[in-house]
Amino acid sequence: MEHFETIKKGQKLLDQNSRLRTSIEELGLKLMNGADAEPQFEEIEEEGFEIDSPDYFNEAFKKEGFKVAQPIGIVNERVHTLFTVSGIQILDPIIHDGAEISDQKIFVAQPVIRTQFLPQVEEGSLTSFINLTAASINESYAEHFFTIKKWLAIMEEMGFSKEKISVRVSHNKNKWGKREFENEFIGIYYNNVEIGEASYIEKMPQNNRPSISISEVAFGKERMNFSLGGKTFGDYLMQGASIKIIDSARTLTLLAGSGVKPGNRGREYRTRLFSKNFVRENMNAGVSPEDIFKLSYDRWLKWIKLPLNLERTIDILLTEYDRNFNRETLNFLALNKVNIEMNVNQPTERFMKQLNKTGSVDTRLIDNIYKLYARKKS
Amino acid sequence: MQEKNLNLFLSGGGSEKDSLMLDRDFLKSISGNKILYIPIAMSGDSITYEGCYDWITSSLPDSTDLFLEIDMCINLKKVSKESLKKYNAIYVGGGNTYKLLQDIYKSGFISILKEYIENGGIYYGGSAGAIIIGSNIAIVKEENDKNYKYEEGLDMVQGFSILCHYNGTQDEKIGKFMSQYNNNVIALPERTGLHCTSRGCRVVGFESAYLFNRNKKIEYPENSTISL
Repeated sequence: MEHFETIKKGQKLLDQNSRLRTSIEELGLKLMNGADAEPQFEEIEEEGFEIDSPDYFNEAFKKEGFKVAQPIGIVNERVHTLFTVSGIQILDPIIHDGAEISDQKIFVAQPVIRTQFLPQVEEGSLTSFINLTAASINESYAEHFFTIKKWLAIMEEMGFSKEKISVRVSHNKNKWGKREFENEFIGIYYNNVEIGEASYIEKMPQNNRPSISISEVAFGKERMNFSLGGKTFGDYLMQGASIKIIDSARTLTLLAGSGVKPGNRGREYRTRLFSKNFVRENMNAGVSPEDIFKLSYDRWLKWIKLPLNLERTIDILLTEYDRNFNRETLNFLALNKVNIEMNVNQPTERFMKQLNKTGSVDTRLIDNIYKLYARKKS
Repeated sequence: MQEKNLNLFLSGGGSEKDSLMLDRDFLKSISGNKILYIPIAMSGDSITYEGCYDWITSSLPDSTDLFLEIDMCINLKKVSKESLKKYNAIYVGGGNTYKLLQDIYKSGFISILKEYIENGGIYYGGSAGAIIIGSNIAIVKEENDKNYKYEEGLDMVQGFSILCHYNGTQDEKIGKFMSQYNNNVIALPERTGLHCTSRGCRVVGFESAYLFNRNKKIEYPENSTISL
């Protein structure tokens, strides 16, 4: 979006938009109070849910006449960002490039990457997650409303309590290139945690055909889990693995498994950046990189077919882990006024031996740094 | 210049090719590799900001051999004086100047940013990010599409206002602004920029910069210094 502007929101919008007001009333949802309401975990007992494959959602939407689409890769030349950042992007060729409208209603469990959350990674705020998206083209507002209703029914089936769901509503004006359009937006919250959104664009201008309508109702799987009990993952039970370590490992594995090698710019930049973060976070945690990368690969595989196999992915990740561990070592020494030029692109074991041979660094210090290297010694 | 320890890089607002020389000087001047990137002059959704991050991580690294660590911030309320200490520079990108300035004021970031700049913190402003460094942003009044109320910039360049995307056709507009606001103006074409320190502003780029002062238009070729 090159321009985004909220025209109306909240109760004022509902007062003037009877269609939206009726929908919200019929769904039995309440408007959220306060600008920045805090999550309300203290009232809840749920432990979160452990759905670790798309089958449950796929089946539910298939029954309702949605075509279940295979997720696209996070690197996809047909989307308009370097990475796939949202489930709706699966429709980019139709929405933005005039591709033929084939399946009107689709459901996709789409792995996505959003680097904008990197500085604020914490429970519930991740850089990679599953965007569960039900979308349709040229369906009526009634159908859009039905999709929201369907989603709420699924949530209740999963154990979400309707009383704890609240919404924020807005009517927005957007501009994308030369195209201007408006959308009606419902932000969906559980225990005051934003977990999903429903957006309806009545008229999205097209280049060589009449405007199309777009319905998107999407939820973040991990946000849903977080909203229940304040914990994002229950299945990364690794000693010392903080949410920052888990998040870096997951995103890194998704990147490397998708064939994005480390580098200094563009897509490759992200792999190096996440690896550096992982190394730093892990220096005091000591989580085995092999173990957490393997676990992450295994988890992603349940949602998306990765182009690179496990062995190749792990090889890329561990080579980069060593490189960045070596770089961090040199940075640490420089901070302590020991400036050494060494090749960081080599296995850490060899790097440490070479460092020892320089005679510039106390052997005990090298030993202490090496203790922070959490890889299993073969 | 006032008694401030400035280190400002102000870009005329062109593409990464246009600002290549300024970008190189900027990256040479920073002592580390951590940059806080603020793209909020652009208004948009999550996808827009991901696109902004795509852009900066695909363009800025071309001007250095360093591995840059760029954090993006889209909520200025989350930036504190303390959190800024881990960065070697702030990079504020282009978009709507009025929206940017309003967000800076309303979030309370204005005082943090002023203090950061006055204490020698390295700042890079592209287009809107450069214009807010001047005295008054009404030089781009046409961008005020939503009745934004803030117009007073950070005033870090000795009372001058700054106009980006200058192409020689805006002289009449500049004249009107000068008489209405009693402000002098530095106009930057897209292919040029300024590196401002307490000694003055050096023109860095492929074209001249222009200073509009009491009905005079003075050309400053690349690499010359505007003494203020």
